[in-house]
Formats: sequence, C-alpha cells, structure tokens
Amino acid sequence: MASSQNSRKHGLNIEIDLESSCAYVSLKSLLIKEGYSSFVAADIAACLLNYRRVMDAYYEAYFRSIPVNESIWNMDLEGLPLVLGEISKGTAADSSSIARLFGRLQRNERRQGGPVSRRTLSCHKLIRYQRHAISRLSKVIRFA
Amino acid sequence: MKDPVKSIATLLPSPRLLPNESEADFQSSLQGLLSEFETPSPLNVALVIQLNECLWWIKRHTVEKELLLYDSMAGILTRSAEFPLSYDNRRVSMALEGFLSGNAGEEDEQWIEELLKRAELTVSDLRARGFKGAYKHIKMADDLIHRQYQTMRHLQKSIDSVDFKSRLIKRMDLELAVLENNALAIDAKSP
Repeated sequence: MASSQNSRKHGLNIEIDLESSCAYVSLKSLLIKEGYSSFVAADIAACLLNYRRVMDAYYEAYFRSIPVNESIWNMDLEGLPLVLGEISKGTAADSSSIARLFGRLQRNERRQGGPVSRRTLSCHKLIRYQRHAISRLSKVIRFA
Repeated sequence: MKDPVKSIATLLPSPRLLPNESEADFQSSLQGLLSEFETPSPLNVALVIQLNECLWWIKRHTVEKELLLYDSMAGILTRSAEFPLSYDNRRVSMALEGFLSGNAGEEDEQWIEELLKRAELTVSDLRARGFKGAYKHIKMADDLIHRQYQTMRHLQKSIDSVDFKSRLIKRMDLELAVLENNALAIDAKSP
C-alpha cells in the first residue's frame, strides 16, 4: 500500500524507545520538579518528544522532497525516435518503444509538478501524524 | 533560578529553520510570545516554542500557496508563447511576478502584455485559470495551514491548563500558609 510505503520512508510508524533517551529522563525529572506526578511527567515527556519527532519529520519532508529531474522534464520527445535510431542503429520499433518509455517518464515527472508542489505534497502526507501527536500531548497535559 | 528557555532548549530538540530564515527573527518572535507570561514554567516554555513553530509553518505555507498560483499562471503563459516548458518556467515567472506586483520593467511589462494577448486572456482570466490548474496543490497548502491552526488551538488549551494549574498551586500554597499562621496564632493564644 502507498501509505505504508510513505510511513516507511519517514519512519513515523516505527515505535521507538523514547524512554531510554537522555532527553526523556531529563525532561521527566524537570517535570517532576515542577510538581507533576511521576506517571504524568513520564506521559508528558514521551508525548512532547513524540511531537518533536513528528515535526522534525515534517521539516525533512518539506526540505528534502523529491527533486525535479530537469533533464527528463525538459527532454525533447519529438526528435527522440530519430536520435535514438541513429545512435542504436536498431529497428524503428525499438526506437519508438524507447521513446514511449521516455515519454512515460516525462509525464510522471511533470505530473508531480515543480518543487513547491512536491514540498506541499510531501508535508500533506504527514498531517495525520501531526494530528495524532498534538492531540495526545494536549490530552495528557489537560487531564494531568 | 535557571532560565526556563535555556533549560528546556537543552532538553528538547529545537524547531529547525530553513537556510534562508533568521534564527534571530525566530527568537524575537518567541520572546514576544513568552513576554505574555509573568514567570513561564519550563513546560509552558516548551509549548510556546511549539506554538511559535506553528506560526512559522503558517507563514511558509501561505507564501507557498501564492507561489503555486504564480507557477501555474506562468505555465499557462509559457505554453501560449510556445517556449519549451521548463519545471519552473523561470523566465515567465520572474516577469509575471514583477508585472503583478507593479515592479516590472518596461520591457517585461510589454512582454507579459504580449503573452496575455497571444493567450487571449486578461490578468483575472489568467488568475482564474491558474487557480484551476493548481487547485489540487493549493487545497493541500490550505489543509497544511488549517492543520497548523488546529495544532495552535491544542497548544493554547494546554498552555492555559498548565498556567491555571500553577496559579492554583500558588493560591493553595498561600491559603495553606495563612491556615498554618492562623493555627500558630491560636496555639500562641491558648493558655
């Protein structure tokens, strides 16, 4: 499924052991000093770190979205069968099937749009992770 | 007392900025938000940092939403001019941006007017068509902005809750101190 491929890419579906991190331990003890019980402090620390993890993945999705392949985007497909025929000295059918393949690549490339469209799409895939993370954090704090 | 901003910054990963953004601007907007609190607790500082990040994402996505529209409009003009269609339609994009903001040079202005004429479009037609072409992505940008607003609402409620609790604890401490004083006074009076 496409959604499972996405989540593999940003790694947000993988449960990570936040509780063994130094940040978690320090955050928890800071919250205990603030007067929260040990259980609540542990929950808040875990939810805060999880929220940060999602927002870091959001930044990565924005900043490192799939770059535009300029050579494929700008490729001149009209003259391609002729050029391919000359280079490969193969049959006309071979040249036109290679040209079709390039045509498909170009359509796929253009369908994704420019850099801004790609960034927007990448971030859009992470909306539900942000929604879950913030609602868990807010619930833990409000009902503490 | 240790500075709560510094103490939380060392524990929690900070929001990352884009290469063209200024850390000083981010910090100044954060300080602006924090100045609303008398003595912010470390948890409130952590939440306000997240809230400030949401504000920055809203700004970024709003700019991108406009860019999506410009890109689409530039694409339409590029096609009408029979230029090779590049992914950013750089030449037309730059001239169009100047044209729409009223800062275009005379040459660019004439060129865009010529392109509009060739495409048989007015500026508002072009805008409408551009919007139609980029609708899917503009809608996504709107969703992203909306998500940040909702996240901010969650954060505001959490901040309120933390603030209320700390005020409540302070009030209870004061009441306890008064009760203890009263009890001591009664002890002192009793024979």
